[in-house]
Amino acid sequence: MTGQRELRQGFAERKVKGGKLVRVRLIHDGEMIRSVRITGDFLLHPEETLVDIEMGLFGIPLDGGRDFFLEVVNGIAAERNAQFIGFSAEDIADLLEEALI
Amino acid sequence: MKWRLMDFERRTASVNMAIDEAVSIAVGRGESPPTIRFYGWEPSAVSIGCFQSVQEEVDVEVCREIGLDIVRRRTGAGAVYHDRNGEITYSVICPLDMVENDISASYCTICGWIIDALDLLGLQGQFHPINDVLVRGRKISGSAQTRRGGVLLMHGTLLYDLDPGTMFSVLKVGKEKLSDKDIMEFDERVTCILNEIEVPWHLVLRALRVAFTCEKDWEMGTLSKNEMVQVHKLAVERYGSDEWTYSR
Repeated sequence: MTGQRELRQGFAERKVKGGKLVRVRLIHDGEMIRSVRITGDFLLHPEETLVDIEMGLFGIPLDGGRDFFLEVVNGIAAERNAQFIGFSAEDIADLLEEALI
Repeated sequence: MKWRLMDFERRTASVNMAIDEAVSIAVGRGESPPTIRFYGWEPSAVSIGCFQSVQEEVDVEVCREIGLDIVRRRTGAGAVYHDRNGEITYSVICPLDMVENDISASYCTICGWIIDALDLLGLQGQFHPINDVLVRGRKISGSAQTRRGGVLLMHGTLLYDLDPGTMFSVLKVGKEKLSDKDIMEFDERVTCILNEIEVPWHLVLRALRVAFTCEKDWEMGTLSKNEMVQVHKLAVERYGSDEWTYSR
């Protein structure tokens, strides 16, 4: 079928120094992120922010790279006035980039 | 404001988590007083943090075989094996204006009550940010909190006795570390009251009661009728449901 791209999966994880474990699983089609799942033993207030981040990353073009991922995550966190404890928006952006390699 | 102290009792995992949430809702509505709860797990259980995946953290088959409950908390932090005989769990549920606005500072304050209880038992505890208490550099207590509807819910555990064999068999973090060397390393990272001092269970509970209620106006209490109705609903519809437990 024309126009249908092959879906690929990516995974990355890190134990944040002095902090918590964060895992990122994603599916992309070579052009954009199709789904993201972030798991771990971190703390995030309010907790619903994580689902907002996962949904907010849907459809994000891959060529924006880490900086754009960070902008998206920071934008959603700011809307929620979110507090990351034991990890950071930067960790999520790094892991998204790493999961794409 | 007068605190309600709910005495130790063992419940299933889903009921335990439902009580914490039902009380939080009632406190948020101004229908119930700030509450301190001590409780245990019957049967033993594994709880996972709200951001964790059951598949990544828990050996579900082993839990089924040995009859352990699995429950997803609504707080973050890590997976915990709650041994029926090896742990006292606490919850502190109160309006946010009764605790520090700063989340890390409030962990320090409430973990300080655990440290006070340890002190009463003759043990020297130390707060280890973000959310742990150590004795001799080894973790003896962990905690997690959520803030919703103007209410703080912080729950945590104090390890009384350790069963590393079961813990390693049900938690995947442990399962990857089954060598003797790793169990030795585990002994260097985690401890429990009975590793440190010979003291009966009821005295540990008494120390916790004294430390948690120190300088507070308080009285013993139980769940209100409205809370009980809410507990039943939440235990069935949320904490006992696969949809919630396996949502990540």
